[in-house]
Formats: sequence, C-alpha cells, structure tokens
Amino acid sequence: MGWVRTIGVSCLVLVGSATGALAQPTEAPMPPPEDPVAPPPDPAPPPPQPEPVPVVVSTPVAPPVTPVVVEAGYPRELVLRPLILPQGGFEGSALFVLQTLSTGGSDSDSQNHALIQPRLRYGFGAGEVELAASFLAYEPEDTSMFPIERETFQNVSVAGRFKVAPSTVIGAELGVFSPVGDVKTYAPRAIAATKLHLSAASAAELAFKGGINHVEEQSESSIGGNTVVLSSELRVQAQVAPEVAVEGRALLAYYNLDDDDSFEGSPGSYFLQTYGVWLVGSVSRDIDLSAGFDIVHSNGDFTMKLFSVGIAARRVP
Amino acid sequence: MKRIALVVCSVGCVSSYQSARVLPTGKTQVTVAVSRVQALEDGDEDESVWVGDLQVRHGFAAQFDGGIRLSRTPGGLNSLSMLTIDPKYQITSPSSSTAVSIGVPFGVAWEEQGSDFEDGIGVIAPTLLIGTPLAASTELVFAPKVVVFLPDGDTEESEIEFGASIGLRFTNSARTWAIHPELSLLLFDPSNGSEGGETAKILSFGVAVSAGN
Repeated sequence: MGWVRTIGVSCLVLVGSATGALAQPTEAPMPPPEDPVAPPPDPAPPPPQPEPVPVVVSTPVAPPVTPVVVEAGYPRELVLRPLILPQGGFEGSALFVLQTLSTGGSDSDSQNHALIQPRLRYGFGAGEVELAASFLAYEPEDTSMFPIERETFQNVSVAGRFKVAPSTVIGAELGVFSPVGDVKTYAPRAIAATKLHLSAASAAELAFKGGINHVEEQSESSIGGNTVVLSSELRVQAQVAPEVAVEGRALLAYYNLDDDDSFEGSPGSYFLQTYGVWLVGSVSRDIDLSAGFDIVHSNGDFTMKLFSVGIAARRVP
Repeated sequence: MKRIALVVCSVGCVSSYQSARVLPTGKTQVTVAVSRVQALEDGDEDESVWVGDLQVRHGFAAQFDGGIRLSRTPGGLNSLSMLTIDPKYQITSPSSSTAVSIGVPFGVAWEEQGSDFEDGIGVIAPTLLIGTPLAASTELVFAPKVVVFLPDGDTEESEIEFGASIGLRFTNSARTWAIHPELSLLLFDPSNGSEGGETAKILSFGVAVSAGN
C-alpha cells in the first residue's frame, strides 16, 4: 500500500502549498530603490537681492527644482510586492492551520488537526532563500480518518529563488516529509514563477513546480517508490483597500505513480486540485496579518478543509 | 451520469461569477471561486460537496466578451469537472445604468476515477444576466437560466432544467478587481418529467475573486 502513503503525502504537499504562502514573494513593476532618496540639502539663505541694473543681454534661467520625495521601502499593497525580498530583507512568518476532515458530506463526523507552520525568508539581491517547516500541534485521539500516521515534525523544506526578469523567478526546493520518522519522503522540485501586474489594484501570480516524491524504501517492507509531480498554482489578487487584499487561489497538480509491485493497486496517474480564498491585511509596513480558507478535497464522501490565520513580520533595509 | 451533471452543473452552469456588463475591448479578467453545493431532496439536506471555479474572460468588442471556465471538485482520484466556453453579448448600450446581457455557455462535464475519464455529457446553458448598480462600486447581478443536458450514451433525450443565481459584485471604478459572493439554485428533475417524479433542489453559495487589467 505504498501508494496510499504516497497519496497521503501528496495531500500534505498540497496542504503545505496551499497554506504556506502567507506572503509568497511578489514582484513590483518598479523595484523599490535600495537606498532611500537623499533628502534635499538645507535651503541656503536667500542671497541679498541686488539692486536693479539695466540688462543688455538676458541669460536663460533654469526653473526652480522641486525635490521629489520617494517613499522608500517594501510596498504595503500585496499586488505591488515583488516575488522576492529585496537585498538584505528578512521575513519571519507563522501560520496556524486548523485542518478539518469530515466524511459523508456532513461536518458532524469530523476530526480536527492543528498545524503550526513557521517560515523564514532572506533576500540577497539576486534572489532569496527560504526555510519552512510544519509541525503537528494537535491531533485527536482517534486518528482513523487519516490514511497515514502523522509525525509531530511533519516536514521541512529549503528553497532558493533567483530573479531572471523583473517579475519572474526560477529556483529549486527540497522538501522532506516525516524528517525524523521511520519512512521519509524526499520532494525535490524545480520552480518557476511570474507575477502579472494587471493594474495598480490587481495582480495574478502563476507558479509552476516539477519534481518527484521519493518514498524511502524500507528493508522489512518494500514500500518505497517515486511519484512524478507537476503542479501549477494561480493566485488572483485584488487590492480592495490600501491595507487589505483578497486573494483567490487555485492549484492543479498531476501525479504519476511508479508502475511497479510496490504500487500494486495504485491509481496510476491522476489530477488533484485545491482552491482557497485569503484575506491579507497590512497592519504596518512591516507586519501582515492574514486569514484564509482552503478546500483541499471534496467528493461527497470525504472533505478536507483548512482554516488558517497567520502573521508575518519583516525587516527591509 | 445524472448525479455528476446534477452536482457539477449546479455550480458550473447555474452560478455566474461575472458582471452583466461585458468587459471593455482588450480587457482580460481572471476569476477564482469557491462554492459549497448542497443537494436538497424531499426537503431534507443531502450530501454536500465543494466546487472550485477558474474562469478567464476577455473583451472582444464593445458589447461582446467571452470566456473559458473550468469547474472542478477539489481533491484527487474521484473528481467531477466541467469545462465550458462562455460567449456573452450585452443587449443594452454600454452607457446604460442597468445592463442586460445574454450568455450561452456550452461545454462538457465528466467524471474522473484516477486516470480513467468517464464518458462526458454535453451541456448548454442559455443565460440572461441583469445587472443593476446599487452603489458606485456595487452591482446586483441576477441571472436566470435554462440548463440543457445533451443526450449521452445512457439517454436518448435531452434534459432541460431551470435555475438562477443572484449575487453582489463589489468592484472598483476601473473594474480591475471584483469580489463576488453569489447564491444559486437549480431545480433538477431526476425523473425527467415522468409522472410522479419529484424535483430536487441544488443550492450553492460561493465567493469569487477577480483581477484584471
């Protein structure tokens, strides 16, 4: 039943993907200046007015220059933010996720799990690095509804993204599921993402990932195997107020499981999708609060929903 | 196939998640929506599912836009999907305060079991969209429609159902974004008009987020 674990992990991958982007980097049409504009020098005292004298030849006089004050810093508006942090930028965030599993289309027979997902990002100019993890903070005594055993340390991932165009990045990510458990799953991914700045108040982010999920093979029971994973995620962003944005998310992933004995009875390949609606509020230039709802699975028999709240704090030079 | 059509088309056909006004020429809008669908049979609550919606629309002419739309249940292994092309013509002039448009989405709904794609069923849903401004940035959109399921391998006749949606579309003056909560109802006759058959009601509620240029 290796494929059961693979699908379960796939679900976790998507859960992480669906919830992990409290402030996924976005790209601004005009990157903020790395150095604030220097303030204008103190105005010198006006020179004494000369006595009027007859002028024979007039000399063109340059018009007075009005200093333009540019507000430096990271944009508060989600739709204007770059995909990666600027050089020296640092961001720490945490998501608190309530994962609800229910059966029969009714919420009466349901189980709740709670997850905490910290994340760190650092920008180094040409790109950024990211470290993320997920921990199981609460699970009910009866965990029969979930297909695999859930470790407290759910997963850890490290990613690097590099800017190849003003609004486009490429990169790589390595995720490890159950990193301290008996059966680890390694999930390397290649990443490409772009941000479309549709208007001053709207944007769309499109991200692609491709790689494999490699389930570590065990000596006693051969349950290892590889799953090819291709996914794309669309985020539609509406800046409904200068401090508030609403984001609609849709993720579509393709899974192709190994066709060997360890995956006997597996469904082979299949598509999987999630949807969500998020609210992102900029409390200050350096702090965001967010809340989101994601629906991960629903077929009438089994439903998985995520209710998330998060906070992100950043320091951008 | 009936059950699939009932569930998927209740959202894919009956919901609208768009303005009654067509997009200006050259403008494009992307929409993501999440809906909860509840089947009410014999007055009792039956099973519910969630359906996601992805829609891209583009303004082709002064009073004509079109879109492509994918409605699909979240998750994997067992999924219900519907893909439609949705042309829309605005009857009223672009300057009128109340907009009236006709849309004729048509497409196919299908079921997936892992990598197995079940036979699809053709769907066409002529829709009248009426949009009235309640405020400078709020539009009330009412959209009655007829949903026609074309014959498939199991049926020899088309099935005709009725439904409607009503929603509030909050947007900005430039119409570059929109938040659109919507309620929709589909009256579905499982007996296809035979004597003694009871009509099932499919109720859905969802929220859409749109962004465009």
